[in-house]
Amino acid sequence: MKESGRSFENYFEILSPRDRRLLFDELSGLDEETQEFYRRIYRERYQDKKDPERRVDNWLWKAVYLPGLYKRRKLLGKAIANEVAETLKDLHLEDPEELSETEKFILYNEFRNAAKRYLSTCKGVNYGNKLFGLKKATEDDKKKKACEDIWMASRGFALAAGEEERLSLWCEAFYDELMVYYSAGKKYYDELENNHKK
Amino acid sequence: MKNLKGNSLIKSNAIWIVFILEVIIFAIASGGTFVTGSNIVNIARQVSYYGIASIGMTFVILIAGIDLSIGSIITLVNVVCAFLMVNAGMNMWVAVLAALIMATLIGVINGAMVASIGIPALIATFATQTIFEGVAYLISGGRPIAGFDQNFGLFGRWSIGPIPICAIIMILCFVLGSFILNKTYFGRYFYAIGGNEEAAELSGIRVNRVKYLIYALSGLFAGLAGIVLLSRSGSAQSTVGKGLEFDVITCVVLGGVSVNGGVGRMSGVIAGVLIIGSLTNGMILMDVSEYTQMVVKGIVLAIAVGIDCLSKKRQAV
Repeated sequence: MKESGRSFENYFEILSPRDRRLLFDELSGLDEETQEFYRRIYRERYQDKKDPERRVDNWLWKAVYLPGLYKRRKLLGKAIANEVAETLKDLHLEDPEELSETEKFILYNEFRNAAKRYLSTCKGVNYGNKLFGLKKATEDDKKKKACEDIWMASRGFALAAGEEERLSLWCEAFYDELMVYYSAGKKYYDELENNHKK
Repeated sequence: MKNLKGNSLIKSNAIWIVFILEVIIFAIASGGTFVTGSNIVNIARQVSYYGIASIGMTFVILIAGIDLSIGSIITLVNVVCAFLMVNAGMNMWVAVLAALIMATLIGVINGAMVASIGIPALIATFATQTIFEGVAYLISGGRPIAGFDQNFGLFGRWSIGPIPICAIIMILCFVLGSFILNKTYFGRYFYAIGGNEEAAELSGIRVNRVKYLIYALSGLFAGLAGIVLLSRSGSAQSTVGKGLEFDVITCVVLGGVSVNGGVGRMSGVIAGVLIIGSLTNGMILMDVSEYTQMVVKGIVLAIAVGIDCLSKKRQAV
């Protein structure tokens, strides 16, 4: 999913919400509808519904929360169903066929940005530590855990929910970003996919 | 296909299968004594206090932490509650409430050391374990405190029909713990923090606040366990909670809560509690010495942690 000729591509590379907001000034070259879609997605992603003053990242939260839900999928049948409905709504994927090419482009890149932000946290000193945090994770351990997390937040969740089709844009974006971060992880990613089927 | 489904069913219920096997083995070895009504009631009483304490420990381990201080919280609650009732002449309910508030505050201290100062959980709670064990000795002077209100037997010795009240308290605590984990936002936060703390923080969770809450809950549940134990034993001892944290950790890890954080469920912990409770009771029935019991429990803990680490390793291959 690539679209050339956009002047706004840097926007999707930046992780800081504040820095991204500054780039809104450069939106003027785009048509009114597209500008509004960018702004709406930004608001929905970074604004706390209950407390608009608080800085949150609702889509990063999906990446954090969905792996935990995937692990407990057998226990939480109804919660999965509720979460699927909520996630599809939040990610504008209730009816992906209705999305315009521009909207798909923006969503795909915004999903990639969320995955990129998640992966940026996977290098931290505490990430992937074992035994009550006593055993430090190696770089390889961290990459494999990141691969697991990304798979569970995207394909794993989609498979558990039976929503592979509607969540395909989300899954594709997460996979593409993971391959940038950990290109050698494809084999492991495929293993996770096969293990789920078993 | 059928075979695969069967395998998956066995795998997801392995802990319960272990429990059933254990019951069968002890039933045969004890000539049926193990499964008599009175012994089952006895097991229910025995498991109740570390069952209650294991709920808080589950929350802590889910965020990849550990709370070594719960044994000394149980001891301190024992001593303080008894001291308030016997030496200070305080009303039973006020003393219980004061002891529970104190236990929660100790949890908050643990939370502050881990979340705000950044001391590793193992060290922070080891320090408070030593501190509060010492405080319990200072208060009691190393002597047992006994002679409190008859009604205090409510928490540990009384029953409703054949069911001990302490078992009912434990069941209610498990229901509450399960509700917190599965039905509330806080439960989601526990898993999220255990999975990736930094991402959880960036996504808007107030991680430090949640850690405070978790350690406070761990203290509260340990405090409640202390009250049940005091009521059951009828006298406060300054050594009563010594080593209890290891039984509780064994129950939780045996129940499938990962020592790496982010994975586990309350139903598994219930099975872990029942396994350790039955194991202890079975060994007592078979006249196994206390020292041998320690060896066996240590081996069970090592096996439980080993299986958790190996399964993670196998997944990563």
